[in-house]
Amino acid sequence: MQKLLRTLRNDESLMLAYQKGDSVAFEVLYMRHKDSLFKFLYNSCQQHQLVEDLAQDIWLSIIRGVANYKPLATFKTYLYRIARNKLIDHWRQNKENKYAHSEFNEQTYLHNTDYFSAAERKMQVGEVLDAIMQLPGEQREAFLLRAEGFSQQEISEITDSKPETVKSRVRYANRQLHSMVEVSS
Amino acid sequence: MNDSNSEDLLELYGRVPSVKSPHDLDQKILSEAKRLAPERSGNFSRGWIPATAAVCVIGLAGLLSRPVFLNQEPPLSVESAALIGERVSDSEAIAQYSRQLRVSEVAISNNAAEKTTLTSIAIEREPGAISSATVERQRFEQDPSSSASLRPSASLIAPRSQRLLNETALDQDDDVEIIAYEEPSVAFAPNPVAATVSEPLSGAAQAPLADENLSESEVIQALEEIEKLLREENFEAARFQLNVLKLRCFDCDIPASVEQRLQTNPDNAGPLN
Repeated sequence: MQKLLRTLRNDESLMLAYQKGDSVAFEVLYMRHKDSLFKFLYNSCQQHQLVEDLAQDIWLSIIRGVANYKPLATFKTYLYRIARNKLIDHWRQNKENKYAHSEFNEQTYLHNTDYFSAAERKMQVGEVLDAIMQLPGEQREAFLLRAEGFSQQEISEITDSKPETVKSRVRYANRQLHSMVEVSS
Repeated sequence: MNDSNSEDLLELYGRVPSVKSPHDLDQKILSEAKRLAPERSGNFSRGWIPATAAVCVIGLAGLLSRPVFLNQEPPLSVESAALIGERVSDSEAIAQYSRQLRVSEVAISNNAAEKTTLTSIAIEREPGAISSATVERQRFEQDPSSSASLRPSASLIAPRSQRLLNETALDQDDDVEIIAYEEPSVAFAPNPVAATVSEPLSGAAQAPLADENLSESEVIQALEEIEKLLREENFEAARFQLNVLKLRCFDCDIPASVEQRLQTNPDNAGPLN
């Protein structure tokens, strides 16, 4: 019954309740966001074991930092911001530079032969992920966050980017993926 | 790229098979969340703090109103009104007061001398009565039989505070039994020896009564009571009443016939005060 009542509360009040020691509130919060976060992480790196480690690390960071939590933004923004930082930390530690796409150029991107060869494959729904994985890191990130339901403003808060930049990234990601779909069809 | 194409892509992404968080991971994170949950402080703040605050407010209110209670005099009864020198105008109250003058007395079951000693000690606590009480005690020590073993005690006619003092002193002795009677009885009427109350002691007893003025009707009623006792040949009680009347009223004109009848009666054991 208590858990049912807590499902009616928003994320921020649940987090504040957990801040006061209500562990059931955190359970409700966790169940509400665990799968979407896991999906976001998985679609970002597609390594199951790594995703599990990252997810655990992210949630433990939230648990340990609950005393300092302030509802300045939505909890979901707070969660995904932590997730993004963990992803970047991981890639930096492992010298993977999947997010280093600042040199991205739309023309280069659109005329990439490797990309078109991949896009020419027959697109199945399950294969969309492959296309997404081929997107430049910042576009993939922006697209995945948009797909998770974040607004342009929220994505800019999560990624520390200007809203116009986010808008551009999402547009480029959509255009590329759309091209891939058209080619496949 | 228009919005419809963007929506199509999002729909396509939504059709990607969902990857769910493993159950083991969920259990691990939730157990860790419970273990690391901050100390719950809700019980105290929700329960004890309001209760404590309420108690404090009530206590504070009590403290603030206490001086008012302390300054309030207890409601006056007929007895207390008379004892502190207030005039009682109600006739029924006067009658009751008159009965009480005949008094409830302290009965000494075992040792009358002990009572006298205790009474003297009690009187000694009264400022201004030290010398008389000492004299009385010395007299008792010299000749216990002649002193005021059953005289109308000072506690009887003393003001309320003095009576309470005496009773407290008596209460401290297990051998003394205190019995209060509404109506006088011969058994507890003062011994004629009581008439030998020494001058210093009577002075000590009178001192607090100096400002008591009996009304004319009270004097008349007291004399009628004495007359009645004389007619009943209850000379001891009559003498007692007369002594009490004299103690309470210096200026009263006591009929000579009354004193003569008491002087001439065979039970007379001593001079009248």
